[in-house]
Amino acid sequence: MFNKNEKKEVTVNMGKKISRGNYNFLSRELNYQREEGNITPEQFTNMMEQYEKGDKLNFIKIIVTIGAILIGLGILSFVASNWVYINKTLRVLIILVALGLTVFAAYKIENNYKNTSKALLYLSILIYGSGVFLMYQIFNYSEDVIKGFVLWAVGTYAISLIFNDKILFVFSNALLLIYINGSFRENIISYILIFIISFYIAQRDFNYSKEITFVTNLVSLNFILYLLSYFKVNHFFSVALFFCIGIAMYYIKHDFNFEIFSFQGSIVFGISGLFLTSKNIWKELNFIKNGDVISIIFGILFLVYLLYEIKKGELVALIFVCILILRYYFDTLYDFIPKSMFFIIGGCILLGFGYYFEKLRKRRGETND
Amino acid sequence: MIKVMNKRAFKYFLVFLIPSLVLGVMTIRPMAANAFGQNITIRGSALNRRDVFRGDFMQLDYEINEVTLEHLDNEILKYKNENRNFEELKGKSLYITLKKEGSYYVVDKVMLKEPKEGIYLKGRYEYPIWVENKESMEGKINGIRIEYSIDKYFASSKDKNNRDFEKQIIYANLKVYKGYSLLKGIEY
Repeated sequence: MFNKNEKKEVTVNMGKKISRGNYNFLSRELNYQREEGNITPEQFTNMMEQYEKGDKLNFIKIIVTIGAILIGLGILSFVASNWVYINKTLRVLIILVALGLTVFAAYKIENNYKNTSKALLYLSILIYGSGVFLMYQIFNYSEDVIKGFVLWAVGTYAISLIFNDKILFVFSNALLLIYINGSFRENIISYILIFIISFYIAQRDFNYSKEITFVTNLVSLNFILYLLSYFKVNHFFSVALFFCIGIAMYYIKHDFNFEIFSFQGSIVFGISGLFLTSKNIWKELNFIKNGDVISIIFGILFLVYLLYEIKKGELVALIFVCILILRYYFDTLYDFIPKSMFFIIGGCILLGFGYYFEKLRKRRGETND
Repeated sequence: MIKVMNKRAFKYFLVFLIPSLVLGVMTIRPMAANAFGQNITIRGSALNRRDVFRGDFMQLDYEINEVTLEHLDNEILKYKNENRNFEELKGKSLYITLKKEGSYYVVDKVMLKEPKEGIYLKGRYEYPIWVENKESMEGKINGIRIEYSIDKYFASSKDKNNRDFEKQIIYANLKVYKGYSLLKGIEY
């Protein structure tokens, strides 16, 4: 049995496995507390019983691990340098075997090394992605390689649902973003709609996490941009539509992560508002001959609106006021004053805004308390 | 307990199965072309290229990439008339039938609809080819450029005798099946 009054190593067969360093620290500190009288000897024993000392850092284990890594690197290097000379069938097999081994390893060590197992799962997704593009290369196929991204996205998305993994879900959204932006000439409407609808439905399984809402909204906005470009909509109407969408996202309240929608909405109407201050955009409307007047009127109205938002404490509005002023500053003064003056004044403007921004943040922090 | 074990193992099995299925499906068309396709040879030239993502490869430019107006179907020629200059043809898929001339194949006809039989390739319209009239200094379209999926070759840039392919006339061996072409190799 245990001698409760000695500082002995308590070895038990069941309990949470922690590293030797942590175990020794715990034992040391609890002993000190026991001696100080803050805990009783029974409490000390009960606590220490819960933990099990981890394995000693075995020298042989280290050497063997390094050896295994070296062999792995050697094999990788051999395959990479001789890739073009390897038979097509063998190349496909190598990719499948690499995928299989990684998945199997992730499965085997999941209980003991959770983080490494997750990392291996992510590695298998990367192997899958590179496998898709390597397939294109193996068969010397070079058209529509961008379709590889949607193939990659489908697999990643399915696996993210199986494991309920947020990172993989966001990654599949990102892959879809790349696919949309690379396929502006093609008709991919049906595929993307299926994806987007299922993304929004799946958000329920992830508890409407903020990052997921943000990135899925980004995909939807990108899809709208794609639709406008595919149907060759007039540029003015495209920008105006985005401006309205931004305002709608900013104001319309609802229950699904409204803060994210409002934040994205403010960025969207900010950027499209900036575009609407350019006279070239307004010229696309048939009844406007000279875009100067109306673009400046819009610019002033926009500025007033942003200043009103700043008064309410909205930080994004301040950033856009800064960009708006800089936009006019660059536009008008770049050619008129010597470059040195230009940069000095520009720097002062930025410093001024930085100072005002911080003041606003502080004020906001105080009112929130 | 066993059920939970199976469920966990099944999850990981799916992580292996789904990507493998996708990769497997990607091999179907090339394999079908390899098994059922017809062997043809076309002429072109090769250049060494390097790409961040794909490493070294050969960029191939074929005779069949540039097609003169006489090979185009009437349907397609409609896109050129009235100074529209093929603008609306941009990005559309075209079907190019090939016929044998000597020991290699050349363009026979280009059409918008898929032919029911014969040797044909699926390509995409890229841009029109202008030719300048030296007397009137006016440009005139005399052909179009078509891109196929076989313009990159990811293998050794030297042939069996170690001669460089670059800047020489090369012959590409393809296996064609229902519009899909599998680039098997290039040689002199």
